[in-house]
Amino acid sequence: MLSNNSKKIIYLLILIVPFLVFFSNQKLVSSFKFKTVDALRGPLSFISSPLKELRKLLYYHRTFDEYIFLRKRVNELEARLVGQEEVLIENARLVELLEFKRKLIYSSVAASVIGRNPSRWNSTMIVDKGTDDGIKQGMSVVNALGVVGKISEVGEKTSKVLLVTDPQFSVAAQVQRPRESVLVTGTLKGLCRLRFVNENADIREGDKVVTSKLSTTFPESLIIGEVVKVIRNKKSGTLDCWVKPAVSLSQLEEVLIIIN
Amino acid sequence: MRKAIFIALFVHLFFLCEFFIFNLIGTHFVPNLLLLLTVFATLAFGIRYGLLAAIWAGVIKDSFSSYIFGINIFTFVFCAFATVFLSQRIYERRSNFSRLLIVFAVLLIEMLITNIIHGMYGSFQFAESFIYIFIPEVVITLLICLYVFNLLKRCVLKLFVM
Repeated sequence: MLSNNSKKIIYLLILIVPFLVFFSNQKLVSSFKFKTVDALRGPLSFISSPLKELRKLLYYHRTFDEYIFLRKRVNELEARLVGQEEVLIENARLVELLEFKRKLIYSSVAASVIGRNPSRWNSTMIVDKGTDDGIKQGMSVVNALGVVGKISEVGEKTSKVLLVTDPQFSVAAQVQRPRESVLVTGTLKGLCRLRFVNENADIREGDKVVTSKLSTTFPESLIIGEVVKVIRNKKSGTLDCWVKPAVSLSQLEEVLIIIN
Repeated sequence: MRKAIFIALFVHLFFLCEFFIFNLIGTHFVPNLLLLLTVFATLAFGIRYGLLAAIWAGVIKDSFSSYIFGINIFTFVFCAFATVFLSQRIYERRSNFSRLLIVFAVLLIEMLITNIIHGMYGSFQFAESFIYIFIPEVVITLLICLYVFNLLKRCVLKLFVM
């Protein structure tokens, strides 16, 4: 039997060691983390399938409303496409003339969402593609509606995606109508926030926020979300803007990971 | 050994429950089941098994998190020690109120520690975390706390000779 002093020392060590782990090289623990994730992947995938069906039943009305909205949008966009082809050809020719190279097509990998991490402090999710599929850290993750997030950690068969609403997430963006350059970051509220906003910027509720050319991770002009609240503080001269993501993060089932 | 297996199984089960509830309903209705298990293991089996539950639960939570590895382990271990400290001062056997009080205090400590650690590596967002994380977590966790404790107590009484 250990003496009281020995027990106290052991308890103190148990408290201190995890604290010291913060300062260790996080890359060393990355493979251990993914081994734990892979160990639970079976049960998580097992409960993910009925979970998806249950969500479809519970949120049927939301899905149907979204279908009606998307159907209408597709019809509008198809109508706009007529006549756009000429504009695209002319644009490509002008861009070539100015000797800018632009990639118009991005190669991507489709990934299924296993589930979101049940944490209130982080917004991350696990997808079923990893290094075996050519995924690397920092790759952007999108879907048809807009920006989802970026790959934060990669294992062999799974990856973690840092969602656009995570406080650690940030991307260079532009508010479309006034052409203001901003930085979009996630918050604990479940919304995004615009940072480094010019206090005289003409940003209004309803303005669309898209990725900008300055972003090294995301292709430009991808929709991030829509401004839902603008608070002007006249005393301090600051502008506080909140953005609702375009993608419904709680209903994601498949995403695209942009390879290059 | 049996207690260790019991704790390991319930850590995995409670994590899967949290995952299921989170992905079905959303963030505001997820109780902190792993913290409840840590508190229960500490009160029922003592600090050693409480630390085992804390470390195991922390490892799983950190593995799924994208933040620095070790945050949840440290937080849960600290909460296990806090449970011992609080149980010596306010816990009474068969008193539901004292159980609720301990759980509330441990949730508060967990929020404060997580805030401090997040503040060390990023920005301190106490107001936001209090409104959007602490209050929903406390409400839903305290609502099911007694039910979970009774459930675990019945499992323990059936499995172990006390």
